[in-house]
Amino acid sequence: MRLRRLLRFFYLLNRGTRRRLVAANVGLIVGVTLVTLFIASGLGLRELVLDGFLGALPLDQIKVVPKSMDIAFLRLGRPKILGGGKLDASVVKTLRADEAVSAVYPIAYARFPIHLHGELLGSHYGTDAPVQGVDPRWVSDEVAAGHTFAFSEGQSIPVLVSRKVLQIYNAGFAPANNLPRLSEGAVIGREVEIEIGSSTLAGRGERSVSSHARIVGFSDRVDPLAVAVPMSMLDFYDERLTGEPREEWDAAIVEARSVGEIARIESAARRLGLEIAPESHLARQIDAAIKVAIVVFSAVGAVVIALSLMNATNTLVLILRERRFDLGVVRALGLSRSRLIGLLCAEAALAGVVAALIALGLSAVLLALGSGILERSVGHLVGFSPRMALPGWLVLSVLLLTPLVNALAVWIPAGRTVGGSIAAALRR
Amino acid sequence: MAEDKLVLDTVSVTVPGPDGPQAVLRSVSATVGAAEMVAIVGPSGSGKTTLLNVAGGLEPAFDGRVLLDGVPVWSRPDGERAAIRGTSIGFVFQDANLIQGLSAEENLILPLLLHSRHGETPRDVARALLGRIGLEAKARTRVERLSGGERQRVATVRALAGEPAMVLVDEPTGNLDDENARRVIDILLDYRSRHHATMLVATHDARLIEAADRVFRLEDGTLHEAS
Repeated sequence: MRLRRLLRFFYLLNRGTRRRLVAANVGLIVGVTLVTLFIASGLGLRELVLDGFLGALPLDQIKVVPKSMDIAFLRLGRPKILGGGKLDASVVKTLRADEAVSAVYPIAYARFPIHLHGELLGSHYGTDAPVQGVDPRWVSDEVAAGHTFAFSEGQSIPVLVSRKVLQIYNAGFAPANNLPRLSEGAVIGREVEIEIGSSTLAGRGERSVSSHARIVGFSDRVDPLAVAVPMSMLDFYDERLTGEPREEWDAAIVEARSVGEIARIESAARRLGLEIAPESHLARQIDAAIKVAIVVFSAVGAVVIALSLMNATNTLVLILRERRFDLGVVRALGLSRSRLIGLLCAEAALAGVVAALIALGLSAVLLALGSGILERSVGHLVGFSPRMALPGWLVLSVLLLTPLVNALAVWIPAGRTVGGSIAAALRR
Repeated sequence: MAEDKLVLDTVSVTVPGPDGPQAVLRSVSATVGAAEMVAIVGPSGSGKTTLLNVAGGLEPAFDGRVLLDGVPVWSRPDGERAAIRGTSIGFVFQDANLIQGLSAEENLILPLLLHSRHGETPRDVARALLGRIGLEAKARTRVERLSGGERQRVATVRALAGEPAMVLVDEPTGNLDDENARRVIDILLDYRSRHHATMLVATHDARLIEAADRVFRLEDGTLHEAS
């Protein structure tokens, strides 16, 4: 039978039962809606908390710092003699040699002061700021398009600014000073004056240098209390202003080949005399907590789906029993049992597709409403529009699994219903 | 004697009854030639419908052999049996057995979609068939809104729509008044004369019995050729 004729046959065969089939799937619609809502909203909230509120490291990265020791209120930052570690080239080399490590990005703070000043909306502002040197590869995805994050002597120094600075400006500084809020686009590319080796507190040093700094992007990773520059700029001016080359770093980001390797890398780092920065744990703990919540709520949804499937299967069995006579007629007219079972499963699958589409539509609407509420309530705090949306893999899974499960649920009852003799089916 | 179209060879059917297994057909044997019309008469409950069901492959549980064109087709896989039912055999049931909720035209289209005739769309064929039995105006009427006679006419042309070589007819006029019975008989006899089809007809109707080449009597599950 050609496909077109098969579809026409299919259309005629189930014309009387389509609405009831969809009605039988109402529970399934509710269950699938719940599961998709839980998963999508959980993922959205996870993004909001980790990226928006915490600005946390990606889960496959940890921050290691040289081990320090606390003795009462005295914190010894360089406890080498007391058994602490240091983060130098050999340690970084050892870390990079670990099979589980895909990259190590050193971080250091400048041993010289800087002072930034420039015009903002007609007024002159200036501030001292710590300088954080970072490996450009670590922040390459945060540099705005059309800009580069590489140091070259005599040219404007590229700087990355923590996104939190802009959030704080927009949330507090701008309204308090009757200034307009700024978007990232309005700031990126702007240049300010930078006095390297000078500060309000220390004054202007003998070797201080005047230059320009250009904002090339906003970052969720760099220190919110510092401006981030390429590590090569830090090394250059550290040596020039202090007369000594840098031999150690203050921290390093260690990127694992997979999230599952993180625990092993942490152990290796501790053996090297390093300790793990607390924010690394916090992100993973929050991530784990949200995942557990997603699983628990999704399990509730799965129970609803299971109960709905049982109910839907019962209804489908009843419908099949009612249609036993009609099914006998079409078998007498020449439709084989296997093809008839296939058609009945296809019918259930189609009802599943309709149920999946309705569930996804409901979820999408509810998630859009939730996103709107989130944006109004916390959008200004995190500096981006928190979005709870259906991920593509979830949409695809629902569209594939719901019809499949529905078809499987009807397969055995359909086989039983059309399995007997045609003569028996035709006895009213 | 024409070539054998249908052979029933010591066919027995037993069904569960209130007092244990009950024989519906007892070692029934008969042959029906190609283009032959055979009437089967007998009291209600004598096994006429069961005999037609066995002959047409609707009742798989029987002992003995059924040959169609010399081949034991009903022992073949379900897919092949279905194809034979769809292309070579037409069933006219006593109760019409149309699918409720569909129109007269759709009831005719359904089997044509399964096994269509070349060069014609199922809808065209269905319309032509309805025109032939005077029901073109009711093509889109749901079958439950048709009269009993109209339903039986639709059911009769549905059985003949695929131009089968053998037609099994079960009491086609049993529930009809004289006028409707005459129309249904005319359709069947017209088809037989135009297509030289083999017909096995379970009936009490004198006109059909008279039109038959041979008459068998079925009583208590046993079959005898009537004189």
